[in-house]
Amino acid sequence: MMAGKKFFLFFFPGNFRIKIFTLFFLFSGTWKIVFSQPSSLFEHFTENSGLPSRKIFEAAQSLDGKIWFATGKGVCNFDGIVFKCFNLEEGLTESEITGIHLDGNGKLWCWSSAGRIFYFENNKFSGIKKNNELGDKTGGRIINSISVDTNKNIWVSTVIPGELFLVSAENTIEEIKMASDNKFSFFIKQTTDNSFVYGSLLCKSENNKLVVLLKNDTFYITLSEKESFSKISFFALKNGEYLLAKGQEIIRFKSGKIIQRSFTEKNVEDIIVDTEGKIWAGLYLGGVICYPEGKLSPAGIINYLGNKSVSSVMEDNSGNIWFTTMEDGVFFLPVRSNLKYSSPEIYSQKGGPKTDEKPKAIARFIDGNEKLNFNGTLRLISNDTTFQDTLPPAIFISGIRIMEKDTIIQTQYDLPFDKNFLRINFAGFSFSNSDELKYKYRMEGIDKAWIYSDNTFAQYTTLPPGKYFFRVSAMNKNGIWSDSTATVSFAINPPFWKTWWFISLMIFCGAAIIFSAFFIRITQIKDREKIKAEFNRQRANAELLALRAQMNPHFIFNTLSSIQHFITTNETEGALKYLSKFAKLMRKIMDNSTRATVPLKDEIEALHLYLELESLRFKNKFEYSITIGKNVDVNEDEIPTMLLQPYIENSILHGLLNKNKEGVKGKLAVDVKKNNGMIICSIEDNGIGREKSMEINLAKIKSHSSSGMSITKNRLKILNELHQSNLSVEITDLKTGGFPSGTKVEIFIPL
Amino acid sequence: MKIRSIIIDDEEGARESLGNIIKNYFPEVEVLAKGDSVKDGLELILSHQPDLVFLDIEMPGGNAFNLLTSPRFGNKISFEVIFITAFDHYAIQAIKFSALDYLLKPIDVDDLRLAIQRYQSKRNEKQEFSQKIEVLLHNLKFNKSDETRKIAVADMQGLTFINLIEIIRCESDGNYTLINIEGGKKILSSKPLSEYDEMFSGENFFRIHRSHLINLKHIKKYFRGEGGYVLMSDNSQIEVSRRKKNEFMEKVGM
Repeated sequence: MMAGKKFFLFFFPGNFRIKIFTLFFLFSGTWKIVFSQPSSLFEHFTENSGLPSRKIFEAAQSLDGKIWFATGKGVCNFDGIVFKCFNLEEGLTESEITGIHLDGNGKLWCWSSAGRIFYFENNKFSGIKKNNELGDKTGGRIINSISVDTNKNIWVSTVIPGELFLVSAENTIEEIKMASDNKFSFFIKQTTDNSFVYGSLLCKSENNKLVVLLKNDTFYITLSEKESFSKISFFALKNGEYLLAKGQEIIRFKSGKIIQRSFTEKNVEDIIVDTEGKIWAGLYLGGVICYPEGKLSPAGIINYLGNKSVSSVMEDNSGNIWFTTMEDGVFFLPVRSNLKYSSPEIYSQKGGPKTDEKPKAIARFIDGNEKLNFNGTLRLISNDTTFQDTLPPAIFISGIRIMEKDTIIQTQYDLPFDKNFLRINFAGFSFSNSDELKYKYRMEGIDKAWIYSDNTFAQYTTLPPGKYFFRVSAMNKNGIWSDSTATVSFAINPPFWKTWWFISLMIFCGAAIIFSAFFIRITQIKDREKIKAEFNRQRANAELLALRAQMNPHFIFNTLSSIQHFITTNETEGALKYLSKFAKLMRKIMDNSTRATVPLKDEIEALHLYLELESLRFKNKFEYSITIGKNVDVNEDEIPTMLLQPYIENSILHGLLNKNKEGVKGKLAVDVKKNNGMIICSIEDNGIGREKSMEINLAKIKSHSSSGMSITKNRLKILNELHQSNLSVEITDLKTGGFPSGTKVEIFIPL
Repeated sequence: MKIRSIIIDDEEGARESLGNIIKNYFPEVEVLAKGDSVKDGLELILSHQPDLVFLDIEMPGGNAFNLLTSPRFGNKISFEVIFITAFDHYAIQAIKFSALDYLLKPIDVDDLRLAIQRYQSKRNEKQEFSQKIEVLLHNLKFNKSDETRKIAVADMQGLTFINLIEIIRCESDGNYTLINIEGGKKILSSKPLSEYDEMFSGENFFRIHRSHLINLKHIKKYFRGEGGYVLMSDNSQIEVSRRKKNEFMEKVGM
């Protein structure tokens, strides 16, 4: 035995909270790790520690004690200090290595996802000679596992159901076909006692059975699951028992006899029993579970590593346990130093571990020397001989609690929506041991699949309204299920506000409300728009009328005609005078028309010009005067533009010009005064009066429908509406001795 | 032979300027007298028996139409009238309807020349004139949009008087207008369509297309389309131009 020891001791300043460990590396392969500051149960290795990838498929320990990992980027080993990687440069022709395995002769084998097999020799990997041929034969199918027997024959199983290849030591490849009804791929596993376990899943019979060949025994294990392509893992215990895990089921058996069964929550990827007798199972998306007592009972079960996908579990020679994960590197559980392996002298500089025992595992590998005759036993597998030694257990429902209250057991329950907390107790009955019964149950309507359980009750909280049908079945440890299921049905009625008629009524009412609100709103908007449009139209109209009212077109064209007269008679001076006054008036009107109100001064100026032109036009047939009260501020007091002109025009045309026939000169007096905060404009004429004027007009054949007066009336009305003001007009017929002697118009303009 | 004329206008300036223009530019026209009112004018006409009267429409103490309806003329008016007005749209429309002549103040010499030429070219058709006056007075008597109003249309043969309501549609034919009347009758007027469009503005007529003016009261049916088209009471189909569609729809209240 090699006595040379390597000893490492690191001293760091105390304030350095770096996790460091001292380790002993012994050639014998036994090495120990002691944490100087053990802060957590597990040590975690990732790329940061030196791993080539976080994707780790399997771990194995070589005879020199190094731990080897099959990773997504080649193979690497760990000597306790550093990781050493082997990839394309070191003889691997492919990078993704899905399995690693140590054969009975201590030779390390690995294989890639594309189906190539490599072995380790002279510090590098080499592909086997038949790699290409094997690749052709397997068609690049993924290798499930390989085993190498003592005669150096390589047994290769792929994921294809019923396919097994033998790469013999003489470099021939032989394909061994299994019966076609074998649904699950052939698996082969080398156990620690160097025997092979191999088998396949039969699904011809109603209950799936796993065929296991142990040496020359053929053993059938009935599985509770109907459909599954999950991995099968296998472990041989020292006492001759075996653990087998498939899917969510773990079975402990000894040749020909099932001892115990249990269900897990997630599919089992790998299962081992460590030297202390604890059972470890790596779960797909479920971390690791540990049965500390070594018994498959749900009591005392411990879950580690959360919901990581653990791909394999391995115990090294020293009893440390390694967990490889699919996306999070490697976790390492060191042996509790205080429990078993720590001894003070190990840490002394001079000494060393006293133990120089040869590791048992290696001894077992080397001692095993058995070649299995596959050809002889494989044919037995096809024989569908069922091994069954117990009666199916009976099952019945033993109690139903609704809202924590026991009820009389019925086969059907009709429950209101708020009584939806159910607990269903059931019991199985078997002639052997009822305690070892396992159950599956399913609430049709909410459970998508069977739920496997060790418990004798099922609980459902807050079931939504609907129809449910509960089934439960029991299984004995030999995997025999009850002949029939125990059933009970539940109907949970929806609350009235969830019934179809109530919902449709609500939808209808809602739609009606929305529609009517919409309709009312639309009508409102339409009405408002109508009023607005009408208002705008009136205003535009009013503006137009205002412009019109400012000047009768008759006046304009007649004035121009008068100028034409001066021109035709060569009266240049008269034409100039007339033209300039007309131009002044037009300018004034245009200035004033841009404003709603103007100072009295501007309005009176315009009236002056207008009256002057009219008196010129009618050859001084009338006289006029404009007087302004003393209290009127002509610069500040404002009145609506051209409000007076139409009244004045009216007086001239209808009062004074008609009067003219009677040979008396007409008189027009405009008087502006202020009284009680009101501008009062009075226009007084000594014309023929309204009555007579009306008579004359009636006698006329109507030649124009509009008159300045009616326009002005409208304008007053609109002005009052627009400004909420109170403009008013009063017309008085003047009489002398009972005869009409003129008209007086008074316009009241509030300031 | 000189055209013997009288000017009747209440404004001295207007009378004088028209007299001066005639004196200076139209030696073929003789102004016999000038009147300043309806009363005055009537006396002057009766005493002078003129060929042509320039008549202001609006005068104090009575208007031009009062004069024309005077019973003292009896049943026939032996003179032609050219109306003169400063501004009066309603009266002008009535005058246009009856195909009579009018002048706007201040007087445009070119307009006056055309009016005198027109008078000269038809001075022998006295009968037609009294008919025109009849139509004018008829139309003036009735309100706007009254359906019995008439229009005088001059075609190759002479004047035709049509009730406005009987016109189905007017179709442009170059500088002429083809007027389709109830009963399948058609008149080719020597005026362009645009003149009718203007004359009928404010009536129940609509320029549906560049070359079609239709009477909205004669629409039987409207067919939708890009512009669509209308079916008239004479079963003719007339396209509505795309640009006019919206205005048309608004007008017919759709």
